Amino acid sequence: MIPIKLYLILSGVLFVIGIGGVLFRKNIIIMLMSIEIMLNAVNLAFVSFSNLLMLPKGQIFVLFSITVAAAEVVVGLSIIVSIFHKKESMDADDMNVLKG
Amino acid sequence: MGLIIFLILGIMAVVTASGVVIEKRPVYSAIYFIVNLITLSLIYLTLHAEFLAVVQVLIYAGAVMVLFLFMIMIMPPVVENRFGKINLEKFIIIPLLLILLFEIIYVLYSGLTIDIGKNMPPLSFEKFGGIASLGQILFKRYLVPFEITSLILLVAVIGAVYLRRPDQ
Repeated sequence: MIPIKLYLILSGVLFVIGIGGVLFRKNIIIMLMSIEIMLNAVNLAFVSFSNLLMLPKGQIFVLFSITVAAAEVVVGLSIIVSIFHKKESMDADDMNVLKG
Repeated sequence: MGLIIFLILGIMAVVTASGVVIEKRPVYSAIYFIVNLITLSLIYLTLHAEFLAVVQVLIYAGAVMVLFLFMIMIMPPVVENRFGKINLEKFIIIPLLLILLFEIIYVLYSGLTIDIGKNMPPLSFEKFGGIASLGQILFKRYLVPFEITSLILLVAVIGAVYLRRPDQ
């Protein structure tokens, strides 16, 4: 039996890597991917707690979270395309004006 | 045996996630991310969440990553100044990230004191993460949130179409 703390530590490490990606990178597509890494880390924590408590509710929550992540990616990527057509750039530092 | 498999999968997950962050070319980073997602689905299998493992591969590695790769390919290649213009950022961010990691691990090692199987009767392992048990709960107890999920998808579709409408 694998101790559940190992899973939680792995989830924490993945979450910190995702935060690092959002803070370090300037490409907005990579930033969106790092947000997905953070979402996946939280999902892993949910599933491991669901295994620890032997309750399937955590897995239901992860199902909803995956759906919301898919919707978020769709809207985020279409926003990225809109910004690209306006600014001709993928750099997050260039997007410093709130006006569309 | 289970521990060795978990260690291999965990190291692979951390290495591929770092690859997403470190890699300079966006397509390579997306491929690293696909490997990371498949590794995570294998980790779900070791946690007896079989249905979620299948859903992870289908939705994330199948649908979401195809969308990402499509988007990367229709964009022209960008030259990225990877670590920002000011080097000061690095000296602030890295210690903060290390502190955050230390905090997470400390809290997990000192705060997690749940006793298994004291209060709740354990379910049988065969029925735990399969389609049958999850479907029973999803369509009985969580029916209303499930329907609201379809509303979220509808809003995402309408939003994506509205954002890319042709200019008047």
